Amino acid sequence: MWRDVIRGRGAILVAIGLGTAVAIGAAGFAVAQSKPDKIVVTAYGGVWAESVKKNFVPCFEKKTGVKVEVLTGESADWLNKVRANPQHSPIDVLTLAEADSLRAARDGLLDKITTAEVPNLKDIPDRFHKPWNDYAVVQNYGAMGIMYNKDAIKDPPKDWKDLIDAIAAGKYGKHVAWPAGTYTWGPEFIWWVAQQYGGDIDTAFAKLKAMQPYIVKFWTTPVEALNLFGTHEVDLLAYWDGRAYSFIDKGNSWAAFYIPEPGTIAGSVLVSKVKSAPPIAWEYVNCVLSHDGQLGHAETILYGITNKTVTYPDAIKSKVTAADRVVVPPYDKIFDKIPGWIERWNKEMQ
Amino acid sequence: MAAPTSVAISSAPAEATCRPLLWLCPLILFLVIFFAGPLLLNLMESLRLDKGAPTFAEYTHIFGDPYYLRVIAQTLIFGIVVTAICIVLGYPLAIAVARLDGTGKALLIFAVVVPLLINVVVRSFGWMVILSRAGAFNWLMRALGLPTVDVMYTWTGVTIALVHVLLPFMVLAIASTLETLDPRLEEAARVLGASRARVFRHVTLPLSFEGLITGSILCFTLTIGSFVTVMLLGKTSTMIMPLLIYQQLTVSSNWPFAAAMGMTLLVIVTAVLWLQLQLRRPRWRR
Repeated sequence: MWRDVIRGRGAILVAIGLGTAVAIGAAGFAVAQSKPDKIVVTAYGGVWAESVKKNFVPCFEKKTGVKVEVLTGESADWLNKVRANPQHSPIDVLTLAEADSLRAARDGLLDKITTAEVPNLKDIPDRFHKPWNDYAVVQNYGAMGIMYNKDAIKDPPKDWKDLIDAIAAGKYGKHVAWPAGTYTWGPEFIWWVAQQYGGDIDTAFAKLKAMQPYIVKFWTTPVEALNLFGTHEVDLLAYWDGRAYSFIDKGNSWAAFYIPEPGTIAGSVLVSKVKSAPPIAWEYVNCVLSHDGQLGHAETILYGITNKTVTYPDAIKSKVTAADRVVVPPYDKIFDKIPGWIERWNKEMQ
Repeated sequence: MAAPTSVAISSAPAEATCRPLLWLCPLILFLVIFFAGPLLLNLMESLRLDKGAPTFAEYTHIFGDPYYLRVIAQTLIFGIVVTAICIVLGYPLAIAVARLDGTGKALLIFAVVVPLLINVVVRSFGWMVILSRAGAFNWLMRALGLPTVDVMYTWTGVTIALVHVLLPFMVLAIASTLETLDPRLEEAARVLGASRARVFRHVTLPLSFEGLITGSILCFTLTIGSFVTVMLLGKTSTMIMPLLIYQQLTVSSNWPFAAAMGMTLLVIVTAVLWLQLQLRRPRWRR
């Protein structure tokens, strides 16, 4: 009987039926691939993660109906997770530091961002994505400045050079904490010190060595640094603006924060889409860079954001460092030097 | 008919020997997948096999640079010092744990084990609060009219914090051996006129040697593998290999160099463990 069916018109019907079934199956598979049950995004801990859940996740879930899992941690940990399994990455959208974003792009782990997939990219100035060849976009930046104890230090120097020389001369005693070269943004800060002395890295190391006798600790985590300042172990701390204002606003009126002249480096967090992530993840990147998302993020974490259509409300205007006061280091030039600087730091800053 | 019978009889002891080994199969499989496999990947990464022919450049970098040789030496010395302090402090505590019973014993064990119940980061911040210049210890020194001491961000501070958390491993390892010791052996030695010191030297210590070696292996390996405490309570000069590996992975993102340092640390630990196991031999205990 089967032989008859195959030989006759039935064979055509069977072929059409099978073809339709395969096509429906394939279409279903494609839909399932483009619209997963959830996507996994990253966030730094504390108020940063709170902001992600408040300002970006609802926007994405409302637009797509897809759930978001927020994975808290640190830049290098996330990068290592994706590098270990690039074909089936456990993370869909990354929020890496500058150098890690460059590493991820060079390793072919990220998709290039264009206005076709992320329309809000048009509102982000070029200097916040072109240095990374559009594989990652700065979503917010912290500005490294000085938090000090107003009771112990009455008139801190107005510019970085005077400040560094005053510390090296022992003006504040051994009551200073400074970011270590081995901190995630440490190499960038070594570069910034070098810029104060004509860009010479040897001078930067010489100055840092001169400061060393008066440094209680070259800190490697922001929490550790805040602990030193909060317990009055140090009176002068090189620190991030958002975290400093958050500390001062919690009733610590004895502390103050300022950015010395001529501005400072931006410690940036860049949003990027992992290559193996489903296309729907682009919508999350779009939410992160949107006007409302960016404004809400700035209001929550008190860090600068990059969408040029956003105007900071009066309540946070004095606390968020304006984009024209920060410098984005030339990562294409310093990236390959970072391992050497870290090795030099370990050997010389004993 | 005779042939199969003889085979069955001769294979019976072999079967009896093989059966227990069969029970080890899941463990062996687990170790192959989750220990030997990653170790092999680590070795391949350190030799840069993904780039083609193997290269020993990373190992040459480690062993050709006096800085890295110094860090290896520091790591070993640090492990030995922490272990030695744990032995000195842990042995009397272990004797107390072994000799006590009832509530006193339970409370003492709880007091010894309690540092392990606290998260490593919280514990390290706790030590910062105690040992810093403005901390509790120096407050006490000032109250007593004594000069303050600066132990934070020094080897002393890091050593104190690690001894605090590793002491339970030493105490429990020695105490478990001492508990099995027949008290009549010590009594017999005392009756025969041996002093307390001589009883300890010739009876208690040799019979608790297994626990001492087990505790030492645990303390040593955990010390030279620790990095969170060293990172938070130490500074650039208190560098040990795990911290360097962490830096290479997180800041430099240099996986091959980190892998080579990891393999070097593994070989060193294995060599030291082998030496420690040699101490179990009776000739060392005479």
